Amino acid sequence: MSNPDGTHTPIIEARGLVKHFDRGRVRAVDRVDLTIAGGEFVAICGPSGCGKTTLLNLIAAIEQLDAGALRVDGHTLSGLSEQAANEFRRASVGLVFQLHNLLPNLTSLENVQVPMLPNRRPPHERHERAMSLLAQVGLTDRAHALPATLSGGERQRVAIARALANAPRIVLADEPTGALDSQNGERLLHLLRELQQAVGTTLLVVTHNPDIAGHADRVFHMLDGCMAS
Amino acid sequence: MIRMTTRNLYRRPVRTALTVVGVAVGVVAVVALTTTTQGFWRSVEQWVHVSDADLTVFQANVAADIFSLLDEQTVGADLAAIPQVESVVGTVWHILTVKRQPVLAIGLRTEHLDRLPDAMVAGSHPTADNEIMLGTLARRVVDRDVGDDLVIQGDSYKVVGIFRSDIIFLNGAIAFSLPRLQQLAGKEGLVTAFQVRLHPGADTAAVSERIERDHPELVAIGGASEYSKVDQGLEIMDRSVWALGFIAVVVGSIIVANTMWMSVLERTREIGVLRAVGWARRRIVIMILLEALGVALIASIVGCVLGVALAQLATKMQVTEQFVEPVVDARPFLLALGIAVVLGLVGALLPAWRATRISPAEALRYE
Repeated sequence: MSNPDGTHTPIIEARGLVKHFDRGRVRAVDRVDLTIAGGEFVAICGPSGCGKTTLLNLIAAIEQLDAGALRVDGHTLSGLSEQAANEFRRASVGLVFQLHNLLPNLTSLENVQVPMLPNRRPPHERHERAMSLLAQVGLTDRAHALPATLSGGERQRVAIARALANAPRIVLADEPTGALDSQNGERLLHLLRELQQAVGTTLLVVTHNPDIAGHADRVFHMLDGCMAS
Repeated sequence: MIRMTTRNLYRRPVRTALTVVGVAVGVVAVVALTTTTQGFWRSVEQWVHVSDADLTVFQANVAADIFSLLDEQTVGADLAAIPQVESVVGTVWHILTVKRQPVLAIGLRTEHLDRLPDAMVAGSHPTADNEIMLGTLARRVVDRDVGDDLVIQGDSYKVVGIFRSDIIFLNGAIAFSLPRLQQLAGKEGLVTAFQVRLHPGADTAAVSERIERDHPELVAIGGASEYSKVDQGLEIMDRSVWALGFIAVVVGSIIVANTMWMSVLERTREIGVLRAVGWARRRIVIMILLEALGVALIASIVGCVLGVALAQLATKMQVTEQFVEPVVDARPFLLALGIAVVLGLVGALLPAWRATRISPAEALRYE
């Protein structure tokens, strides 16, 4: 989102984020500051267990933060009601998980429509939107296939289409290539990059794979819950 | 949502089928008993008004209608003396063993025997003490026809007629002359009941009240709903149906709850994904309830079909076909539907509550 002076308005602003687990014994996210502008592709790298997934969950309003301030797409996420959090996730955020997490008994087409169901969109509109997204990820011919009959790469592409279903301004991807071989992983990143540039979505990827950093506009490193310099 | 529900049920076909069978067993029992009980009620209603009687009068405080014993002359005369009464016909009921089968025997004075059938299938009414007529089912049981002789308790009787009645247990009966059946049953001078016909326009309830007030030893019945005055069997059957329905709901709910609980546990991660993409808890609850209702509805349909089939089968057996014919109308189906809805909702409550407790973050970590 460019300002008239060429700068970008922050779409994610985090100040001093803290998240504990295990009754405060584990500090998963420790005083994290982060600012991401609209339309950026940002990667957060770090080893397993460093707190990057927790940070992603905080930004998605899946976890509630214990301290700090977090503003995402104009919403202040601290103290957000459950209903408001649901609406925020539906409207502002698309999620891509490491394991595709598709519903196994729904087809690709139906899986892509799942986030649209609570929006009361007419069925034909949902269908058209889902078909269009499947076309964008190159899976028109697999629209009626069940996840079990898709390859790992295809499942992850369906998951990307699902993440874009409600045209979110931010896509959050947690190890999106983690379950793929390097070739498929590379293809998937290219696809994410293309879609992000085509639609102007902000893309935040967390990964322990430093190769992904090469695709991002900016890279942050996390270690033991803190942002490394 | 509906598609997701059906897919989720279809996803574990064996488990869904076993749940359906488990729930359907209770529904089968309820439907079979309801249709059978309704058959009894209909027959009793018709029996109370057999021969166009307005009231049937029995001895009070007896364990069952067939044990009622009334003096034919004195009670008959007392009833006939009531101004609103047009006619009084005494009748004896008795259970005989013929060809090792229990058969209902009905005794009426020969001049009244023509009141009994709805139609004669063959022959005519008995006019002598050694003549009998058989209901269509009784003909099959005793394997005799018009012109044949039938030996009962050492005496030979001539079958002179075959009759048909809309009252199922009359079709299974043998009709005797009153004195002969009184003698056979050891009830000389006694009858089981009086069929009382009133003058047109007479107030049946008022006459019934008067009979019971003036003769505390008598009960007057004007319809099946009053039959418990002389026989609690039907009410017990009715209560049994409700008790069975309650048990079916409890057992069915536990089965549905078990299935849905397993289903929710298995799908913890999926439910987490749904919550993560913005589904509200309410929507998850509706999904679980719809699945439970789906199982229960399938079970109620299966249960209805099997229940009616079972009732038909059970009442076609030789020992039962003379006494009851199931009545298949909307009631058992509505009852089954009601049971399905109740047990579906009750069974799904706990699993649905469990589903709403799933935190999306924890569910996404769930392996």
